[in-house]
Amino acid sequence: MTTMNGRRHRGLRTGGVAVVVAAVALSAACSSPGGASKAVMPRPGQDVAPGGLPNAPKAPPTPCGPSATAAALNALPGPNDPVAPGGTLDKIRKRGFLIAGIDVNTELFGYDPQHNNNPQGFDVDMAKAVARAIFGADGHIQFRVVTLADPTTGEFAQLHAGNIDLAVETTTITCARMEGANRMNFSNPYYTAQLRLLMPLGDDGNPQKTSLAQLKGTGTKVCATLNSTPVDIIKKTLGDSAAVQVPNALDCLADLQQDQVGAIYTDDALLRGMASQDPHVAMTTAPGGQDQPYGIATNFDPKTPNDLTPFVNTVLANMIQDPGPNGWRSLFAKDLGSQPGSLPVIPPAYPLGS
Amino acid sequence: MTLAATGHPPTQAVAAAGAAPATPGEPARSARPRTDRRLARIRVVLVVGALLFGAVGIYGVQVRTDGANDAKTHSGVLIEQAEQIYHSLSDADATSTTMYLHVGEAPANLLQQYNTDLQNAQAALLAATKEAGGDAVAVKALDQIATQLPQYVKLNATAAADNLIGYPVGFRYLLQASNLMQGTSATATAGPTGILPWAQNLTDTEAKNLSAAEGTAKQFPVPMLVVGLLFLAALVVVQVQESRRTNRVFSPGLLAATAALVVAFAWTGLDIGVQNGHEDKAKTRGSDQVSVLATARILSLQGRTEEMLTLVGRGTADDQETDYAGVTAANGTYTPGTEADLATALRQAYELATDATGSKLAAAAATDEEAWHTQHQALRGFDAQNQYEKAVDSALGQHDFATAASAAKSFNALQNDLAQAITHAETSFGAEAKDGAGAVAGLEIGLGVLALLMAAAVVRGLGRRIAEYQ
Repeated sequence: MTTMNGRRHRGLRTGGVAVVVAAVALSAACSSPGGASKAVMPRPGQDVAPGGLPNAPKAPPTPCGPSATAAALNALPGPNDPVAPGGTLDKIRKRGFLIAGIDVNTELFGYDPQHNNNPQGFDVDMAKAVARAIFGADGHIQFRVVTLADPTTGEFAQLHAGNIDLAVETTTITCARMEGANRMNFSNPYYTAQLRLLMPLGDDGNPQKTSLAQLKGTGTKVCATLNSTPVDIIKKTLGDSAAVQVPNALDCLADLQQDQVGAIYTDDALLRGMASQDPHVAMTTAPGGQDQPYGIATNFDPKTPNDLTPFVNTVLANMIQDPGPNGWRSLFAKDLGSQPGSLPVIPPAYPLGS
Repeated sequence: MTLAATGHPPTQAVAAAGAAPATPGEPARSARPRTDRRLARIRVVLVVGALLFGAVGIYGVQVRTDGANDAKTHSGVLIEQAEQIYHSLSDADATSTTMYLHVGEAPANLLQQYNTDLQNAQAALLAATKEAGGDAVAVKALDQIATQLPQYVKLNATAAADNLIGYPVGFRYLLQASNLMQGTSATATAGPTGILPWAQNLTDTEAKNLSAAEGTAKQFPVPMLVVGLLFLAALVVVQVQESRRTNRVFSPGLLAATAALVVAFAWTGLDIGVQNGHEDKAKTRGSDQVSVLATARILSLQGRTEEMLTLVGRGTADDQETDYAGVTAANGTYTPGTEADLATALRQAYELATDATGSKLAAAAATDEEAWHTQHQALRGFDAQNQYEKAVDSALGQHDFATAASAAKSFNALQNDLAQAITHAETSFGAEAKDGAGAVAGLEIGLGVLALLMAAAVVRGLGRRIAEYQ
């Protein structure tokens, strides 16, 4: 998702054309003879240039496209290999644990089911994988709850203040976040969300087939987060009166359960979490739109080059390759309850966003 | 002068009067001097004046008593019930958010407190509705509360059920419930929304009515003053004339009437002075104190709700902490939050306290508040430093914080001291208000008796003079 707390999706107006390029990263990771510790990531800007791939877009990517993603050519160091002194990795190693900013309010991605500071979910497992790669063992991680996209206490502020090393909280990689005033570094996508529709199950007990466009003329109210891109799409597709805006996406589920709205339109990542809390609703089978690549954010410091983002990219590439229980596919299935339909992709251009 | 010149000497009058009864019929009647009829007319006027003074006086006193009674019954009852609704429901909201923070089943004592709060609110709603009658403003406010309360209860129930299963959507229900409860206050252009602002609306409206009634109760009855002064002037004029015409300096009857009138004035003035004194005292000692303490209690409950929602929200309800702590805008303007308002209210309560017990209780409450604020900041610190469980334990006063200083302990101590302080202030208010009402008791009867005495004195006094001419 783009943000939480009323800012989900805001300004996410240009959806990049999705091109499956993860294979590039995968093959690069594979081709490194040293396995995980020696994996090398290509710089996507170099390898995913227009025309560089048969299915790449003909138009050149926007300036903040893949070239803006901080990627790495350096190898993934082992737990005992030397790292650049004074760098982020050095700092984390000296501290003895990674501090990960997470969200605990997104069911299945980042949540604390027992309210006992034992967070779980796909985001949390991504952060754990990075800590494991740095220290070569489990347990070297501390979580800190970071409010999504909050201007004063959100990811940027916490990264900038050095309170957290990285943030994994369903944050959409957008041009604005990579280049704007509150600039952050982003890893390659670890999940590609799409806008989907969540509705009550059909009369036959199966998910409905309805698409957003098919709701036209039915008078169905569709819920989305305040000022978000989905609101704009709902208004454009169904008319202004069909859109119901709420402060938090999860309010939509409460409203759906109270029959105040007939459908919810937002990221499938959030819809998965909602469906897991209510056996009587499901995402419709209509295809989704508006790819939203989720990335792991790290601090951007113009003076000190960030050596964590390339490291994270390599960790992700290795995980995507890994068929074991700590591999990307296994974690996806464990946390999200279904096998992934496709691998995360590096789009030719990231959404402009805000 | 002309009157005096046409007057007969008393001795002649006595002789004439002695002869008159013996000769019945026209001659005696036509022979009766004009003074006789003039005095009879004056007598009627003065008797009517005395009775009018009594009636106007009794009416004035009754208006005062009615004003006090109206205030005490209608507006007073509505304010009392609206405040009960406000307090019970604020407490219910703080309790329901506290229950939500507990993992699993809510503790029995909290559940009971929540249920009791709702029952008290329902009872107060019922009592207020009964009293509201044709008071359209009150009826509208009560209707709003009554319609939204079941919705609030339902949202909280769903939140609790979701929380028990571990569904995070429960928190959204909890927030929706709390938002419905806390609502938004009325502005210049829009009416209030939610439940508590309507209770506040009712309190404010009735407080205005009460203060208008208290104003009526304070005035010296003007019609009584006017009639009384006119009557006094008439008595004086008649007496002066009579003493000039006859050689008698005093007419005992008229003098007695004048004395009774002065007594009536003095009695009324004294009573009204005493009553106003009691009412002023009741106001400063009781109602002002009760009101500022009640405000403090509501603010403390609101602060507790904010503390809980911030904790439960885990970063999605941080605006609740802003509400608690206040905000400093970019230009440096500081908007106080619930905590600062609470501290201010408690300072006011201390300043308003009129006796040692009141001061002691207000000071204790202020100390609790400071301790709670310190604990709250420590708790926020735990949460910020990734010690969420510790923050929760302090908020709930459990585990490591079961006996140690905690936010829960300070908050509970504050509730306790506030409850005691409010009871104390209410007792002071009750006593003064009762004395105030007692002060006027008897005055009505007194005025009635004095008016009859005046009339009798006039009849008797002038009767003698008239008899002298017959």
